[in-house]
Amino acid sequence: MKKLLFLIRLILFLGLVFLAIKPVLTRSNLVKNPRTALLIDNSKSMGVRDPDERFQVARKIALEILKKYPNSTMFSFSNEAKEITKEELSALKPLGNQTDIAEAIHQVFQFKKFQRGILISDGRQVGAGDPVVEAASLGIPLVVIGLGNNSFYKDVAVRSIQAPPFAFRNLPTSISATISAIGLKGKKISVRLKEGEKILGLQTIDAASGEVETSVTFSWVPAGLGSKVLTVETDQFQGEMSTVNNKKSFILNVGRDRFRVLYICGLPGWEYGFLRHQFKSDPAVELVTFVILRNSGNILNIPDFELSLIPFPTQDELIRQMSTFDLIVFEEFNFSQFGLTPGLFQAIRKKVTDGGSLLILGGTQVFSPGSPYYLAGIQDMIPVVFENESNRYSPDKFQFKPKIYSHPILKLEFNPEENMKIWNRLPDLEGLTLVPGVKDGASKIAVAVIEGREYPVLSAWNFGSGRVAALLTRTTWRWSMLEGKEPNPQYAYQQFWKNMVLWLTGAEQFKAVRVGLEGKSLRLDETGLARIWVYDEYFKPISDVDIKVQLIKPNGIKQEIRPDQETTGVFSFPVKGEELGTYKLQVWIFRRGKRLGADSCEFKVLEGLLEEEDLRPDHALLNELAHSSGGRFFTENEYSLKALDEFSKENEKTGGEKILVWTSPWLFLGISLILIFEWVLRKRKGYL
Amino acid sequence: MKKWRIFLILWLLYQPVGVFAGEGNNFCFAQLRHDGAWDPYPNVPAAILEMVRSYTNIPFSPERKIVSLADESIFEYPFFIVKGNSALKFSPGEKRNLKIFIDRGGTVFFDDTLADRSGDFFKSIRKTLEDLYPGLSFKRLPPDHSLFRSFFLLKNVAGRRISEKFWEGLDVGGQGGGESRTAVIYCPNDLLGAWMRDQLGQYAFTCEPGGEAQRWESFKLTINLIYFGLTGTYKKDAIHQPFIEQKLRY
Repeated sequence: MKKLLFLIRLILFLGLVFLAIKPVLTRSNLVKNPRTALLIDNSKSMGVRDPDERFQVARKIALEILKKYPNSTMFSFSNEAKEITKEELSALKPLGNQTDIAEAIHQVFQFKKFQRGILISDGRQVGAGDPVVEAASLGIPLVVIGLGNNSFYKDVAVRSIQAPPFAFRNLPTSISATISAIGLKGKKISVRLKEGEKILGLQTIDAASGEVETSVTFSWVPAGLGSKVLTVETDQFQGEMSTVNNKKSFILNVGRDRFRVLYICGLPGWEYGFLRHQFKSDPAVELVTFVILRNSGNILNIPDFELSLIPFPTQDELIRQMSTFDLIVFEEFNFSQFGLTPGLFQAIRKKVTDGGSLLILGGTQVFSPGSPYYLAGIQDMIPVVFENESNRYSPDKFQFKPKIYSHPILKLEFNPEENMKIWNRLPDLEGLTLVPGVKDGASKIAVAVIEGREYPVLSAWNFGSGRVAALLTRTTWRWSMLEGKEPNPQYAYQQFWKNMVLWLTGAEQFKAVRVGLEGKSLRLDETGLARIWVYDEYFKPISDVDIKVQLIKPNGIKQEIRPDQETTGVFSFPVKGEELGTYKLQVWIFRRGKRLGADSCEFKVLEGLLEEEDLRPDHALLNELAHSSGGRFFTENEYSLKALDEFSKENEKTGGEKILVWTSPWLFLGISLILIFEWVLRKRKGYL
Repeated sequence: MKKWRIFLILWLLYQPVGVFAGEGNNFCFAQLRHDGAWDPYPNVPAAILEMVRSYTNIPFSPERKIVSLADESIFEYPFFIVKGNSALKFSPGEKRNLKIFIDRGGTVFFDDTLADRSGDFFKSIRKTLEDLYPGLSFKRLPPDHSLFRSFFLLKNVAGRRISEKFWEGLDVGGQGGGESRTAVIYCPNDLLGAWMRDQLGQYAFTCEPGGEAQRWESFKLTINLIYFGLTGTYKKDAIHQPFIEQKLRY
């Protein structure tokens, strides 16, 4: 009995090893007239004449094959595949909006049993799937006939535009565009940035070789506020394959001018150096800063004229200048040491109450017992509870754990899931002042868990008409320097501080109700995802709201939309670009019968289909696709019925229909039955 | 009993050699270890930190940190010093880390122990940096550079031996309207050599040609270097200029 059990287990083990090597069974195919699926691309790119119309060539080849192999079924495809007759093929025109080879392969071979596939296309894949992966999983060879000829191709195209998410009035904004030129060797090509018909910038590129791809950069200073529809446009040349791709439009939201920031730091350190550089590098920030470089206790037997130190501004001077600043930042600043009195804070309090903003970046000097900030009129502005006997400092590393991922300060990415991933991948910070908690009404935006207890790291609230935030660590510079698991932590650092300034100053970009469309523009027939963000008066994301969404189409027709909840405080809905022009999305939010807020945004449905963006044949893709399936690739010139015959004969000898044994459910059933049999046997014989 | 000892030894062997900890927001005297003579003046960092304590309010870590470009921990210290007297040889991985370090906001100070700008030390630095930043090159730091004004107002360069009357630097960034910064500084005059003391506490080298006055200028420039690492171009801000110009007229 033991020998039998051992034998069963050995068989099972060998079976599993056999499966692990993913065996493929090739069934010899000696059928003289194999069942063939003939796929013909009828997307718009097939209408290109280089020099003959690609679709006419495809039709001719298809009819020849049909005659030679009558056991063939014909399909035309663009964004989906459709079975057609010979007569339908004669009447067919290349008008499909999208070449989706992957989807066509999937649809045709999903249910029907074919022994061979023949694909006729120019290879300009536009769909989301991967045709090579689809072909590789078929188990039968695909013969691919690639149409189109690059040597006849002539085209200038605006391939992509790189513009910031928003711009500021009166500040230079950099907009770059990637331009490609094919078949225009020696020509000079003008590239224009336009708003409507007004030219905002002009650049010229030299097409030094037959195929050029280069980037041009425009610097534009927006004069007005609001949503601007801008276009990058190139010259048009005679004989171009497509003129649709000679221009590309996009929307840029222009906000108010720069923000004046007063940043006073009581102790020099890396945080000051990095944050000062960040503010200085941000064109939206005009910075006035002071850092205290020595204390009264430092020995300095050196004449004053040998030192670069300047007198600290008087309280009167600071109060006089207060109204000119949008944001005041105090980092570990013990103001009482510099002849400043709480009277300064009375002025700051008034400033914040009237719509200004304050950020306290603190360590032990600010948030520990004996803090000069624990005075009536000052401490009640700060959103955390401090001046407590138990306040202490933890020098250890800690993870900055967002509590409100969707808070505008923490919004590094439009997509909530991606945003969360970035925060979870950032390197740890180091050193935190531990305070018991936040005050009622304040948002605990991020926390740290120290010795099993949660402590606030970043908190904020509305104070009067303004905003106040408290950050209890001074090591955010580590996001800029350290590796972490995030591939681009420097971006996170920069965006975090940009957001901080924008949100604290109540910038237009960060309202309590926001609606926006991912990508900001759509092409005709493309579907995009619009999102709505909803926050309460303390900037906590909320979902217990009633939402009314209205889409106003370019023809003025209004459509009500019901959004789905994506996560707390984030709602989304799909929007399809059905016609060219500017669409408007309006959102009203109601909570407990009261109107909480409203927002609107515009987006443009742009001329041209993705299909027409790039009409070059892609024979490299077709070649890869053919070989991944075990088939063969022919160009139009290489193809003939004889060549097809030769491949068929060769294929009959070397292969045939491939069966992926390791995916067979029968095999898994067999293994399961052996296992059950072995178990029953052991149970009966008392081996369990 | 023997078994327990073996277990204990094995347990100790499997423990991490040392849990790495950074220094938060404090300045830390970090120095690069490399294949060449990386540490000719081991007692100098303590003397420099003593002057930092006396003359400034900079919070600092009392211990020198020895760092390596092969180690990710280098990113914990946004400023480090490199001493050397011969060509520096960096592996591709070390060069990659040096570039990442600079790109992310770090500052490097190369101090030539031989005080010989035509020597292999500077040649290798220049080659490495110009390979990492094609199109950028070392430039002389002008007398009004923030380095010479970050704390003490200095009119000249300093060091153990004034072989050149200038220092050089490599500026990075500044694209898209942002502020560029001097991320790499090269001293051809052996700045740290002016600090070196022998076992009896006497200065190990005379400062040439300026003697003790030059030594004091070297001390001041060292403090400026640290402030420059921490505050960047702070002293270039418009608010400081009238005061600085007035003082420089003395």
